[in-house]
Amino acid sequence: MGNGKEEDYNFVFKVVLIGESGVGKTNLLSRFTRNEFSHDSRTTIGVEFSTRTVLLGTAAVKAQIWDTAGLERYRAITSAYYRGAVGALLVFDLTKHQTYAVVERWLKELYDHAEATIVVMLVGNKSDLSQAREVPTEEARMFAENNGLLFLETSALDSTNVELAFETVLKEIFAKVSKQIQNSPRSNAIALGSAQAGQEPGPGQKRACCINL
Amino acid sequence: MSLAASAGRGPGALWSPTHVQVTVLQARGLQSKGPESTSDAYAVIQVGKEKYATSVSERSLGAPVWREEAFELPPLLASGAAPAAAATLQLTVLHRALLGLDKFLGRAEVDLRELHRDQGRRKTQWYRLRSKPGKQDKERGEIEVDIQFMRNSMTASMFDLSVKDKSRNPFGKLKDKIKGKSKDSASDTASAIVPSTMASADSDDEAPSKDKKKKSKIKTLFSKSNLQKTPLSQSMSVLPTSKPDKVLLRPGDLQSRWGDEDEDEPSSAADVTSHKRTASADPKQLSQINFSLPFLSGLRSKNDVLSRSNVCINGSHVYLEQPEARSETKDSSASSSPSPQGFRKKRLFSSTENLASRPWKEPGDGGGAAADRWFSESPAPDAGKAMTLPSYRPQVTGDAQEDRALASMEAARETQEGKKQESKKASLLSLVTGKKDAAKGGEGESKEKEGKLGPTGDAAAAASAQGHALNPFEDVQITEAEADPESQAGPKPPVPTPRALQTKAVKPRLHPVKPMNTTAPKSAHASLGTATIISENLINEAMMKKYSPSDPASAYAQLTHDELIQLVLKQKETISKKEFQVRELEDYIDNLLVRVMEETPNILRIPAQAQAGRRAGKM
Repeated sequence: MGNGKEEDYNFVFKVVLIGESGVGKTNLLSRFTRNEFSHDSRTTIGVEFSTRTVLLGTAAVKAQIWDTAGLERYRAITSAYYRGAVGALLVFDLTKHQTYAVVERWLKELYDHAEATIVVMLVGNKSDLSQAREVPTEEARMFAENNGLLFLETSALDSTNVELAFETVLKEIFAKVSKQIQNSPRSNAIALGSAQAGQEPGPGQKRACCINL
Repeated sequence: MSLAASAGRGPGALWSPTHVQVTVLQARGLQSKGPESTSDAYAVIQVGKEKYATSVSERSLGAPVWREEAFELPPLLASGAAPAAAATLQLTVLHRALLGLDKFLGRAEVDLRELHRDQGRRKTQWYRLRSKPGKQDKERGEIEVDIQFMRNSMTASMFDLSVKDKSRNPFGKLKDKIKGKSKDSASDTASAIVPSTMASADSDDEAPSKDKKKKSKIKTLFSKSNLQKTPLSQSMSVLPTSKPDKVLLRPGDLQSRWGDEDEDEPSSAADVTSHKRTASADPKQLSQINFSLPFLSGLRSKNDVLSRSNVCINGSHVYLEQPEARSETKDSSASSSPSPQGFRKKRLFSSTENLASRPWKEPGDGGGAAADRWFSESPAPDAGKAMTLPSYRPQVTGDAQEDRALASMEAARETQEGKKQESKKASLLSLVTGKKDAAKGGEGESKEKEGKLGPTGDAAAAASAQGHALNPFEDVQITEAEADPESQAGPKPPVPTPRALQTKAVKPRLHPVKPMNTTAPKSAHASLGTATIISENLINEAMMKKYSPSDPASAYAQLTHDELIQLVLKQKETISKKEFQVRELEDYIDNLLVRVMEETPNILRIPAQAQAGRRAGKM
């Protein structure tokens, strides 16, 4: 897997970051897409996304990762935010148990608005702060297994497992897409065709994949 | 007098003045800047960096009368090397504008060195007012000023008192301006201007302008206070008992008092004339000064005492003030010394209690000057009085209050005792009232001012001096209660605020008039702080002490519990409103975002620049 050129990709996968405010969603995004980390503790306002293209085997996959504020209240953007997402990183702060306790609520919102086939990874962020850990690794892992979620502990600050987390999700998505493609040959052409419209965030490819899945 | 005269003569050849006392008597032919061909004129007296302002002669038809003196301006005449600016007396007449900058009416400059060379120690003369440099000169009238050269070596303490008063005065002025100078501004300015001797002179001046009913009394009081010597005589005549008390107190006080009395008696005539405390008092003072510094200090202190004695005229008042001062002095004994300064300080402290309410008033009212005088007087008397009758003090203060803005004073005191807010309000009222009072009657004003000053001073003292604080408060309360029934002029000497007192004690210089320059601001700050502190002290001494004037918390320290609750409720309401607005904005933005996400999501792509901008710590 490696970085590919922006224009050379076969698939665009929309991935959303969700979780409580302050768990490090934005820093995970910036670490993955720009290899940056900000100690600035400002809360994210609004909605934005960033992209990075990775090679999965022979295919170039453009990850379009969306980030927004981890607000509790329902927002008008919620529906639009999840729409078309084929992957999600449900992030909690392993130094704050409260952010883990509300994971179920986030899962519910996710399944309420996203496709049922969405690939979800539970991410325990801030593993660099092991001294302040409040959420045992095994507890979170067990929860993830019981709910059909992927699981990793990451640190956006020291980059631990950040790439692995995103790539694992993308791989899982790609695997589902590939499976679907095998089932329907046309989807391949569709995917290729959609690649040209790379700039558009919500390409038919994803939907095709998801739908096929 | 003879002694003073001889003393003055003795030093003659070698005599070189260390200070100059400038008394702004009056002006004529001023341009009118106000309504109906009137102007609210006041004069700024400046020598070097020392700046004083007279009270505002409201609605004067081009010929305001101030008779306020700026005490102890240090012109440095002795040193030939002194810069010309330091030896130039600048008299600027301004019209106090209700809005915007005060308007320039004219300016006169006097070369003090030349004057001293030609005229000797004293000179009363009309000076023509001119336009500002570089501007076309036109007829701006004239200003009559009495300039008296003095030598002060020992009188630091006396001067200190005056200085403290001055500091208070500035505040008072400010307050007056803020509050509105409905009443005679002169009184306010007078208070501000008159530290000790000056104050007396101011009061006299003010009294005439302000006084209507009690002018004679006031004048006498003022004259006494104003004319250090004369005041003494008056006080002596009026209140022999008070003098004895003073005498009893301390040898130094006694001497000074006696000396004052002697001087006063001879000068008493001058005092009777009043207004010319500077003239009558000045020569005497000068002579006294020449003879012996202690005398001078004593005289001043005596004068102060006298002024207080004026308060005493009421009889009990004097005693009351003195006792308070004494007790205070005793309390503050650590800071205060047997020296006149110490007395003054003590008085100040004691007075500080009174001052708590007074400080504001003093500055505003001509009474402020009186207060200053009282203070100056009180120190000496305080020592004696304190010795004699602490209990009397309260009465004195009460009397003073009653005479003038008794209600305000009392309220201020009560508030001080009871609640901070109340004290603040009262102080404000007192200030306002004090100004008004000053305008109304010189006597009443002086008394009120004194009373006010006393409370404020007490409060300040309390705040500043831990031990003192308690006593002063008690005294103040007592004084208030007593004062009400007695209705006599404020026996409480307008003690400078504790801070002011302290500063005075520290600084030997006297600032009878309100200092406007750097020193003035400091003093003003101190006084303001003290004033606020005083009120707060009344409510909660500890609380008050915690917050400095610069501390934003000080703005809330004075609020009552109910007021704070109301404030909190208001804030909550405001916050909820804003939260609602924020929510509406969020919803609006969300809707916009939805449209963007559905139609042109690329807009939401984190731009390269933004990325760079956010870069904080690359790992």
